[in-house]
Amino acid sequence: MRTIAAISTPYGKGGVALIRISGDEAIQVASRLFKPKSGVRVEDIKPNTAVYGSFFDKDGVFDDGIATIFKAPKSYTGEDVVELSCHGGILVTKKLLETAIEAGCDYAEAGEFTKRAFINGKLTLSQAEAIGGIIDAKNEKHLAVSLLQSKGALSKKIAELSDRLTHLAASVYAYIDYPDEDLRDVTSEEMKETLLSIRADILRLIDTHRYGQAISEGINTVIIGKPNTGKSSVLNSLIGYDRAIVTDIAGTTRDVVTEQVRLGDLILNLSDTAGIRESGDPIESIGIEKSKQALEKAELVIAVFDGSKPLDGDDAEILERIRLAGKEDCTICLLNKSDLGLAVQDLPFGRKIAYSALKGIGKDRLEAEIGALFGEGNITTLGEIILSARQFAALKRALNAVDNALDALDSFTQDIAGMDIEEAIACLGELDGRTASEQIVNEIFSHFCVGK
Amino acid sequence: MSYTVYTAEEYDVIVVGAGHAGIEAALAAARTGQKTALFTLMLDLVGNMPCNPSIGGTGKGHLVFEIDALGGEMGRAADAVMLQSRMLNTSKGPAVHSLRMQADRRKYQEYMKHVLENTANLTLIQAEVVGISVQNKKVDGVYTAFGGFYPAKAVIIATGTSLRGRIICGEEAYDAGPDNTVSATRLSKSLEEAGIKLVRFKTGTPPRIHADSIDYSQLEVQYGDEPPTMFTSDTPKPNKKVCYIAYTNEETHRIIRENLHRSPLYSGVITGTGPRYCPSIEDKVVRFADKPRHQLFIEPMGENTKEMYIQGLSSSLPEEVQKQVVHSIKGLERAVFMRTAYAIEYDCCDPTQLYPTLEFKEISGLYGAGQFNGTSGYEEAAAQGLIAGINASLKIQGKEPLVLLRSESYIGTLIDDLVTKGTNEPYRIMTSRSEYRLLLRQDNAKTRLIEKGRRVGLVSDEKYAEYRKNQALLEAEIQRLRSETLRCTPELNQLLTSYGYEELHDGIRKAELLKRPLITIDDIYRLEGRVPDIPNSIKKRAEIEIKYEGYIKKQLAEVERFKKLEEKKIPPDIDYKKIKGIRLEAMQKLEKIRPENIGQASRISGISPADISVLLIYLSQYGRGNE
Repeated sequence: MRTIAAISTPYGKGGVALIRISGDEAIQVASRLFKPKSGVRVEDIKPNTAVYGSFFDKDGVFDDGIATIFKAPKSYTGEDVVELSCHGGILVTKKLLETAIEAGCDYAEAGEFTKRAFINGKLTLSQAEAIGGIIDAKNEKHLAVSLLQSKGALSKKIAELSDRLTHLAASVYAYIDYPDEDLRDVTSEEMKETLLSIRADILRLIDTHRYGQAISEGINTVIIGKPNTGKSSVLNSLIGYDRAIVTDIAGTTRDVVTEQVRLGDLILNLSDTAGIRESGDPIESIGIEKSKQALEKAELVIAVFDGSKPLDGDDAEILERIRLAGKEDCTICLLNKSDLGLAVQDLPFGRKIAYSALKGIGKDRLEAEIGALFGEGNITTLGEIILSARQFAALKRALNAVDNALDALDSFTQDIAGMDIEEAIACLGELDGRTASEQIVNEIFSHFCVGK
Repeated sequence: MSYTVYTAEEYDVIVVGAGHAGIEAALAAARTGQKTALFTLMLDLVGNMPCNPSIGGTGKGHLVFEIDALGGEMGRAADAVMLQSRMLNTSKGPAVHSLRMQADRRKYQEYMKHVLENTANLTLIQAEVVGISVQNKKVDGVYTAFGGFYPAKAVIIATGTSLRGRIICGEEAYDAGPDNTVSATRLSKSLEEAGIKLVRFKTGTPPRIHADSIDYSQLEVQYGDEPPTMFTSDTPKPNKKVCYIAYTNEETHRIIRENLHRSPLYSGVITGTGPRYCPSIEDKVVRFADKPRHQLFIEPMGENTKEMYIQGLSSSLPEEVQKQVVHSIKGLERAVFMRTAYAIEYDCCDPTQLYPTLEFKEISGLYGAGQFNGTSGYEEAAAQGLIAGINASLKIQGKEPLVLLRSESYIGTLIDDLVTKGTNEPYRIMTSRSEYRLLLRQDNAKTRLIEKGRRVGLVSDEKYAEYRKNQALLEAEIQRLRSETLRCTPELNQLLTSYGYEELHDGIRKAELLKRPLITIDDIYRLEGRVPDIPNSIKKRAEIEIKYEGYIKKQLAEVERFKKLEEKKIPPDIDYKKIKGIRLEAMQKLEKIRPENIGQASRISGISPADISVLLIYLSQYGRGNE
C-alpha cells in the first residue's frame, strides 16, 4: 500500500505537533527528513523507542524533534509507522508534512490510519467506532464505554453470539450432509432453547441503546407549551445562558432552537418550539410546522405549563398533540412559575414537576426524572452498551432473523430455520465488520478526522 | 520424447481417462459434433467404481439430477443398474432431500462402455497418455506410450486417482491406480513441464467381504423406499437388494488405537492430504475419541456377486489389523476378506489454475475435470467432466462458453468454489456449500438447467418436449390451487382441528390452506374428492412451490443482489500491479485467481470488502480511460 502522512494533532499553535506516517516506505521516508542526533541511521532505530534529532529538507535543518518508529505488524495501522513530533507552530508543522509528502508520501484521507488498522485486521469495526467515540467523547461515561469497546469488549460479545449461532446452524447441516455418520439429530426444541437464549442476549444489547444514545449522540428533546408559559426560560435555565429570545409577547420564538445540554452523563438535544398554536402569521407558521415535526421525532418531551394558572383549552390541545404523537410515556410536565403558587393539580399523563425557571426550582427533580427514563438503570456491563445507530440497526435485523428462525422451527423444517440463522449471523458479522460491505466500511471511516 | 513418434489420427477433442469425469466429457463433446477420442488405461475398467457401489447421496444426488437436466449420462446409467433407491433427509425440508442409489458396479461399467461405443464421433482407445504437446501456450495433441502423437484442438485431463497413483496398505506401498490398475507415471512430468502446478492428495477405500460370511441376524436391515424414486424417470423400478447396518464398538476402537503406529497415515508414509469428509476409520477413532461407536453400512456390489462393501470402514492399516478390526464387529466375526482396504495417493492440479470453464488459464484448449481438479466422488467428477466437455466443444465451435452460476446450480457452486478458493483436501459437494439451497432442489433441476443443455445441443427433442409438457402441467396446477377456493365444509374444519388449527367460517383459497405447515397437497386432493391426473413428482413440486413461497422469494431477492456483482465484469487484460492503493497480498491473490467479475473477486479468501472498493474505483477509472 502507498505510504500516507498527516498531521495528527489539531490545527493551530501548540507546544508540540505530531505527524504520522504509515506504509511500506514509512521508515525510508523518515530517513529522508530526519537525522538522529546520536548519529544512528533512521533504519537502525530500535522499534518503539523515541529518538531525538533534527528535521531537514533540501534547504537544511528547520526544526528539532522526536521520531518514534513502530514496525509492522506491531503498530496502530499494522504497517510500518513513524511518528514525528515537532514544535507546534502552524508553519513548522505544515512544513514538516510537506517535506514528508516530497519525500514520497501521499496525503492521508479522513480516517485512513484507522481504516488501515481495520483492513489489516488490527481492529474490528466496533473497535474502530469506539476509537471515534474516544475522540468525540462528551462525558466520562461515553469515554469509559468507548475505551472498553476499543479494547474489544463489544466485539467479544458479538463474536460469542455469532459463534453460538454458527454452532447451531452447523449442527443442523452436519446431520443433513452426513446422514451416514450416526450423528445425533438436534431436536427443534433444543434449537429453540438456544435461539431463545441468544434472542434474550440480543434484546439486552438492543435495550442498552437508549442509554448508549443518551450518553453519546444525545436524547432528542422537545420543549413544548402554549405561548408565554416560559418555554424559553426553561430552555435557558437548562442551558445556563440566554440562548432563545425570551419576551413576554406571545409567539416570539419563531424557529426551532437546538442546543446540546449535559445533565450528568446524559446529553439532551433540546429543541424549543414555537408555541404550538395555529397562526395566521406566515413566518410563525413555518416555525409551528417544524415544531410538529420535532415532536414526531422526539425521544423526550418536556411540556411546559403555567402552573400558576388553571389549564385552559390551549393547554389541553398541547396534551392532545402529545397523545396523538404517542409520546405520553416519555413526557415530563413542568408546572412552571410554581413560585407564583400552584393552580394546576391533575394532568392526564406524564411525570409532573413543580418548576420555576426564574427561581431555579425543580431542576434537580427534572434531572432525576430524565435519569429514570434514560438512565443507566440495570445495565451491568459497561462494555456492552450499544452506542451507534448503525450497530443498533444491525442488532434489530439480527433479532428479526432470530424471530423468523423460531417461527420457521414451528412452521417449517430445521434447514429452513438454518437460512434465518445464517441471516442472523450475517447481521452480526456486518455489525463487527466481518462481512460488512465496502459502502458501510467507507461510510464509517469517513466520519473520522484526517490524521486518525 | 526418447522413443520414435508416429503421427496418429487427428481429433477435435481428446479426453484422458474414462472414469466418471472422462465419460461425461467425451459424450458431451461427441454428442455436440466433435470428433472425440477417449483414452483409458484399461478398457475393462471404463466407468469403474473403485469405492462405494452407489450413485448420489447428500448434495451428490443434486449433482446427478443437474447432470441429467443438462443432458449427461450418469443418472440414466444409475437408473438402468439400480439395486436400491433411498431418498435421504426426508425428515428435513425439500431442499435437502437427496437421492442415493445402490448400483450394480459391473453392470454400470457395461452400460457406460456400451453407450460410449455406440456414440457417433466417439472412439474409445486403450492407451496410456504420457505427455501433452503445447505450442505457443496452446495444446495441440497428446503422446501415448506406444509412440502415437494424436493431434487435437482440445485436451481434457480426467486422470482420477491414476496419475502417479500409489497404493498404500500398512507397511506395503507400490505404484498402482485404483483397483490395482497400472499407474500413469509419466504424464505428471509433462504437465509440470507445461507449467501446471500439481499437488498430492490421498483417498482410501474400505474392505470387501464375502456375503455368505456375514451373520445377518446381528445386523439391522435397511430397505429401499417404496416406491423408489429414480433419477431420470417418473416410472419406478423395483428395489432388488437390501443394505445392512453394523456398528463399530469399544473393542474395534481399542484395536485401532493400539495399531496406529502401523498406519501409514500416522507413521508418515502417506504425505498426501486426505479428505475430511470421508475419513478413514483410524481418522474417525482418533478425531472423535469420545464417540463410542461409528455406523457402518454393508452394501451389495452387484446382483451377480457375493462381494459386500463396508461403507465407513475405509482404512490403510495393515491387512492383519484390518481383519482384527472387521472381526471385532458384531455380525462380521467370521467375515471373509475378498479385497483389502487401502489408501491411494495421486497427483492432481491446483484448481485455481482453471477458469470457471475448467480450461487452464495459461494453456489454451487444455481442460481439467474430476479428481484431477482436486475433488472426491463420482458425481463431482461427472459434473465437471460434463462442463469441461461442453466448453471444449463450444470453444472449437467458436461459441460462448457455458458457466453455471452458484445461484442456479450445485455444479456452478462446486466449480466456483474450486477455481476461486482452491482446495487443500479432496473437495466434496455438500448442501451447506450453497447459499441458495431452497432454489437448488433436485425436483426443479430441469427447470433450472434444461434450457442450457438444450442450447448446447445435449437435450433431445423428445426429452425437451416432455419437460415442456410437465412444466405446463406444473404451472397450471399451481395456478389452479392459487385461484380456486375450498368451501367451508365440516370435512375441512375436521381436517383443520385434527392438525390443531382453528376452524374456518368462510371458504379459503387452496394455496392459502396449503401454506399451513401440516396440510399436505394430498389433504387438498382428498377434500376436492379427486386426484388430478398428473405425475406425482409434479404434485410434490406444486406443493413445495406454494408452501415455501415466502422463503423462495427471499432467496430470489438474494440471487438478484448476487447477480449484480456477477455482472460487474473485470477486463481479462487487467494489470493488478497498476492499481493504486491496493494491498500487496490482495494484488497477488487477484493476480493468481484472475476473477472474471467482482462477485468472484469478493469470494477469494483473504480479499476484504475494502480491497473490493479499491478495485471498483480502479475499474470505474479504467472504464473512463478506455472510452
